Amino acid sequence: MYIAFYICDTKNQLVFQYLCDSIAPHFSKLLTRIHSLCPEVLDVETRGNVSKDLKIYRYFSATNNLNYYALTIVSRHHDLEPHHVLESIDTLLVEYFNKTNLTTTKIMNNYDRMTILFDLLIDGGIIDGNNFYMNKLRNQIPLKNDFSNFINDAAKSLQKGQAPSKTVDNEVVPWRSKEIKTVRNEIYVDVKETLYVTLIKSNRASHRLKLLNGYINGSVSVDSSIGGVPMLEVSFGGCDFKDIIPKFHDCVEVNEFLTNDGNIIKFIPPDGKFQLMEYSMALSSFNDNLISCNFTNGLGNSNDEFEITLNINKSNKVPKINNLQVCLNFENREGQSKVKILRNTHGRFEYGKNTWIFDSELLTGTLPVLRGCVEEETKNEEDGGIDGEGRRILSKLRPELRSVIMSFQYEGQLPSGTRVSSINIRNDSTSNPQRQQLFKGVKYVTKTSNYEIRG
Amino acid sequence: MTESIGNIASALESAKAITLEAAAVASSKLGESSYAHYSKSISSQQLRNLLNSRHNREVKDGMKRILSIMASGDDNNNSSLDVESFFADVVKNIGNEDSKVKRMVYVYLSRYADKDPDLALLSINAIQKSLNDTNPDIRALAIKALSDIKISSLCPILAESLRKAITDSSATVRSEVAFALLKLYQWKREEYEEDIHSLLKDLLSDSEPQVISSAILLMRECFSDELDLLHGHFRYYCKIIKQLNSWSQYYLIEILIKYCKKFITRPLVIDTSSEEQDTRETIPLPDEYNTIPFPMYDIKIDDDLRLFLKQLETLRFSSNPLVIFSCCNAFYQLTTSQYFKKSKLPEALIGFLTSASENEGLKSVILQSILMYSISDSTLFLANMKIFLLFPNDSVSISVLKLKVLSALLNENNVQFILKQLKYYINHYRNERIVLESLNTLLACSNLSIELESHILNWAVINMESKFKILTNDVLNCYINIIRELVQNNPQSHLRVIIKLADILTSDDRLTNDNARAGIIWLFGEISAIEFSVCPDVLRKLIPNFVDEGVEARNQILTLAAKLLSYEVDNLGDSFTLDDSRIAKIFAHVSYLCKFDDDFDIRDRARLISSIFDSKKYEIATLLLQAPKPRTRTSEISSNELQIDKDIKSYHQYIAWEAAAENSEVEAIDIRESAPLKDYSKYKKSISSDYFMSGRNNIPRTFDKTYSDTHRTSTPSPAPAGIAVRSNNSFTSGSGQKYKLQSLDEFLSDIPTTTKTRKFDKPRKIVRIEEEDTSSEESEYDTSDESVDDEESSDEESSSSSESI
Repeated sequence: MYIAFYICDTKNQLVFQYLCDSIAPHFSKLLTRIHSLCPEVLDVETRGNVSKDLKIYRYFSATNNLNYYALTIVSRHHDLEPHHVLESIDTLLVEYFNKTNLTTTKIMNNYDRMTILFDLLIDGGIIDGNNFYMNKLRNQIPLKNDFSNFINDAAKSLQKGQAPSKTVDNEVVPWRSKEIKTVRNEIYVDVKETLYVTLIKSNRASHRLKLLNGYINGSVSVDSSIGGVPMLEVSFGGCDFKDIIPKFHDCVEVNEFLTNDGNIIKFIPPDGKFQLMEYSMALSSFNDNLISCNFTNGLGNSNDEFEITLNINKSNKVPKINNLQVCLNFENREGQSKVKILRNTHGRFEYGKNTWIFDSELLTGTLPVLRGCVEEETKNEEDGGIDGEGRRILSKLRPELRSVIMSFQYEGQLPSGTRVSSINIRNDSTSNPQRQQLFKGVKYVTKTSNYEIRG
Repeated sequence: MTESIGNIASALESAKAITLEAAAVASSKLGESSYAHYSKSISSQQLRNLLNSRHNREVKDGMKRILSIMASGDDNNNSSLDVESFFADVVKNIGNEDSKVKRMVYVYLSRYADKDPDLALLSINAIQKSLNDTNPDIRALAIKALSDIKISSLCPILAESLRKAITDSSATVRSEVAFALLKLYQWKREEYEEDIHSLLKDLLSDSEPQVISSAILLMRECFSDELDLLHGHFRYYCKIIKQLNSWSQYYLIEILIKYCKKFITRPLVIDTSSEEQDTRETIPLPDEYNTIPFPMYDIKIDDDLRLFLKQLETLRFSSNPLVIFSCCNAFYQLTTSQYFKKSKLPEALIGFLTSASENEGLKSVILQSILMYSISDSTLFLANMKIFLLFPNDSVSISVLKLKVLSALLNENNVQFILKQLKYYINHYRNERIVLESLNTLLACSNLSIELESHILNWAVINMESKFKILTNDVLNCYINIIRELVQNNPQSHLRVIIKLADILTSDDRLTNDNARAGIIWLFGEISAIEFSVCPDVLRKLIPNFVDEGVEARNQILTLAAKLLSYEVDNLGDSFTLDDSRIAKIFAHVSYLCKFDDDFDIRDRARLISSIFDSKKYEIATLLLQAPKPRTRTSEISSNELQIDKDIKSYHQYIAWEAAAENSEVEAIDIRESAPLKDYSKYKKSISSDYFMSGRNNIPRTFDKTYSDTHRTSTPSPAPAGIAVRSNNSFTSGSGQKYKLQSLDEFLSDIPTTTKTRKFDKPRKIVRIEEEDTSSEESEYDTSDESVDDEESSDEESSSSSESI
């Protein structure tokens, strides 16, 4: 049973609290207890015991930079539920406020909404799963149509925001109300893939990279704004979802998916933004024809120089690469080495973090090169190099570039080759002439989360 | 206020100059933040005035201020306003017509009611009034508020209201009843247990998935052992499980697993490895997972269980990890490993590991359960072995768990690959816990074959030797432990390593770690039983530096000397004399050194051991010093050492099958005969719009048809279908005529029941109500004081629909 929920910033300053019960402790009191009993919950661990029968759970939302805490009574149930609850609340809040991320100011300005939202989601200390649908929440607490909305959607009628909660039990499916009227008639599908790859140089001399292991995590989010009750059909090309098990939003008709060779998805969309599906594909081979990276050690007269070459091919789909960074990892012996950059064609090198940072936008079709050397501290040389053997060992221990970790992001194509080949409304479209003018948009984003190249 | 208006105006001005979007951002900030700023400046007296104002807007402002004090945690510190002191002013607004204000007052009440029960009771009347509101959301809200106010004298009122509300036409209200019952149960269990039990039965037989969802929650929290309540619903629930919300799916699966174990006959496993039909052996499903003795088998499953499992398979696409988690448990508990693998649920479980979410707690629980499954059956996750390789971004606890899974998945085919990765982690990872865990996994690899064992041993020694300046103590100890264990297993074949160790120990004084040295010295003591010749020399070389050794190492040198002496005595037998033996002399020297040790333990031991030898009780020395040491390594990995959380283990705890394998009695009477469902939707005052929901019961939704039906009706929207019911007892038809209505209670006195088949097989038709339809409605209302025959009324409904379409 949940007793209280708290939202804090990264420094654990309280931003918002929802106490389910009159006996629930305030965060300030709880915090002193956490400090004395389980301080590790505040930064590393995700759960801890505050007393014999009270447990605290933490979830850190990286997108919002917020810490969520839930205080529960120890029960016979396992930990999965509270962890999942905190994460779902986080995504729900972002969806509710229709933002890409949630700021502390946004929360502070909407204390009343936040409290009512929590009041709907948690009933008597128990999660009310029936209310975990955006349309229900919006119905109960309509989002304030503030000034920005007026300017953005000048065409939206003024009456809409005024009396929405008068509607009575009008849902079609749990996630969609029936009487949705909109003038926008648009649907946007965003497919985002995140790369998790470890590549390894097959041998020191060659420039071929071999895939050690890796997978792609993809998510399809939809922003729909269509009136009535449309049955949408999105079909994918260039990939096969047949052998993997995607995670679908409740709205997807699984049986249709299974009968259609696994690349057509049918659903009645909720209104607004939602995540339609998430999938992960294990990679058996990986060959990114857009960006490739390689590095060599042991160059120069004293064999202490290294060179990193990035090859960013020209592509007509991807005009630019965003936020490219290359993080260099050296063999960490005793930490007495120093990196010195000799030549750098693009971007800048940050010495403290050993990271090669590019401009936020880098045009494709460039070939950046970074050359540098690793210097030993002279003191080390004198101490360790007394006899022949000692010197041999030292030179063997010379720190050299061991691996690089790349991070970047680009729009326009996906590493798995997935494409959205069509978006259609499947039900009778004659009754509503507007439907034919549906505006459709698709966006592809590729991102890296773990892209490591080992020497 | 004027200032903020001014701000907005100026924002508008600049909007013309700069882009529209930028202006939107600026103005939205202005709007919200300036309101928050204004709200903060409200003083105590102003707040009181606002709450007592006659203008809705001002009351709303006041309530917002109250809620933000509550939510920001400011009510705790004294500098700010004391929210409790506004109790009376807040409660006054309970009758406010604005649903948002109402909601805010309810939230306030539920938190503070027990601080001032007398005043809180004043609000009850208004809440009760809202119980009859036309808006189901308000009715549900009222039920929630009533159940949240913890005042004992309210219980009878609450119980009575719930009894009424359970026949409400709105599913939202009925599902709120389930929550209210749950709260009542937790609060006044003794008094109301029976009532709640009987109401639960009604809720469970509801036809709306939304209500069932909540009823399941109530059942799980309060009556989780009364599984016989589910007899009539088992099949229906299995069919509609996809329509429940995902949280309830999880609870339902949990309950149904228990149900299956109790009431469904245990599956039979048939041996299919032999060709002949007659010799096939049949046994009931074993109690422990993955312990079926046949290489190939078939399984005979009860039809109901099959239905349940089949439905679970379709849930594998769920995005809620709880659902997948419980589905996996169901297969783990109820079927064989073959079935589990075929269900593709293991892949679905892994999907949460590879998801982009950064929920570490969740991933750790998933990994622990994967670890648990792979210990009982490593083939489940073998195909996805690479997922468990480490990534540089993985947190330490996740990495450690991944390594544990890897060691559970080890086999002859993948060991080379994994070994290579482990070596990389050991050499290049900086976190100590990861390195330690990799070393442990390395040790697990060595279990697989003798070649691997010597390979790993050599690698460990060389690696340790090259790096022991930079290794931390814990890591070094771990290396020594590995070497010790591997050598101890099979000393003869590792002689070269032993000599290498002797070098490390005695040559340049490079290994300075006391514990590590002590470990190696101890090892020589053990080796002396097998390979005596090297040991005295090692001891001899150690003695000159005795003073510089650490406590542990000194201790072990003493023990080594004693052991060597004991072996010497045994080897030479009768010919042994103290004066001739070189080893005896070395020992005497060591014990002499120990006499002056500053550690009392060493002095003590030295005295003890030398007194044994002095008094020539060599048998005791043999017993004491040559006792065979148990192998410290456990060959079997048990889940106990793997730090799987106890909650996860208890969740997967095997539940015993209670129903006998061949129980003819159970077969004869079908206890899971579908029970009738309660359908309240006909009480709706307007045309039911839940036809989509009912359409969804036949799995491919009859969507297109119903949809086009709605659009063929000429009325723009079916909901305001000419009838409006006000909370007072008059009934106004669309044409403006007024009718007297009975109270809701009288009207709902009879709960009609329809059989499931009727509801779901008959295509629902949409009634188009026009002005003339009110006459038929009217007659229905008129006759309603006689008990309404549901056959008749539904006929009437369908006939009217056929007329109008």
